[in-house]
Amino acid sequence: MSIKCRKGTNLLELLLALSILSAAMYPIVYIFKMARPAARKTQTEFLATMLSHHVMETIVANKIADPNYLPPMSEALPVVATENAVQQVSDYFKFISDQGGPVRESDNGQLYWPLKQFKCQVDTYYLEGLLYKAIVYISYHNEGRDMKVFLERLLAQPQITESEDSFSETEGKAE
Amino acid sequence: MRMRKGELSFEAIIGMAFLAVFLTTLMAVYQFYTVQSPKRTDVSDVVTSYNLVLESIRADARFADSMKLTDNGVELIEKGKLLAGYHFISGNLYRTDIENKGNILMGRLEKAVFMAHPQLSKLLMVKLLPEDKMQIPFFTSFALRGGAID
Repeated sequence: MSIKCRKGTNLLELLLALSILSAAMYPIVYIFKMARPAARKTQTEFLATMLSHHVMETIVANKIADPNYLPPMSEALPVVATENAVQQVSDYFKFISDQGGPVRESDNGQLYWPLKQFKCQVDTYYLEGLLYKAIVYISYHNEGRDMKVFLERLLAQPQITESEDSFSETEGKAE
Repeated sequence: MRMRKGELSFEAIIGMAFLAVFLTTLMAVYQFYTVQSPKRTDVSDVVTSYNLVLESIRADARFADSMKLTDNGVELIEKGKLLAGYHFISGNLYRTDIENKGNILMGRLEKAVFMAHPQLSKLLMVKLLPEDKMQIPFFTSFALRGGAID
């Protein structure tokens, strides 16, 4: 007499079932990820982005004033003037105070202290197709780490003034 | 007869998978419903207000070709006609359009400064200092492109 009984799961079936179960779990993870609010920029990162925007707009204004203008490369320099500082203020921040000079602590502390942590650097590259790339980096320290916010822009070299308006701009953040 | 016992039957595991998919569907429907009625933005968030100011001036600067600084703000001009005005009145930053209709872009400001770059006539520099000293200030610039493709 044969007894018909229900068989247990063998290993292969179990693995198959677990893989199906794992695949079924993915949408749950996805939904949770989607429901989570997008990571917001910290105030420091936002301020760094605004400063890089200022530098890039200054480059654009220079280009409008003089179509042959190309921004020079510069090392990382402070954006505010500090007493007895060895490094000079970045060229892009030399005229931003209400008096027309660099921001100093004595002029405007409310602007000076938040900006003191930032440094501005501009990298430039000659590219094929008579293009010129300018990358603006605003660097700062955050919880012991070096952070950088950057904006980059393609500019036409002076030889091809017809296509000077063909700019492209990208934004990013690096650690 | 010797029978091999499984911890869980294959059908039960498949059933759990289907249950997971079913729960996911319910959650997706719930998420869809909540997206349809988003919560109001927190107006006290200074970065949200700064973003509004940034986007507004950037959009106007794209078409403006010159600016006229006033006692309490700036007027952006396109081909000789007023495009938009930004005015700081009683702690609020207002934007007015061609028809002189105004709306508040941001409140609770201590000071708003609009100035032209001393060497670049088409560069507008904007500084906003909030009443709350613990909040970050706003500082950036806008090149007046005069409608040039960007």
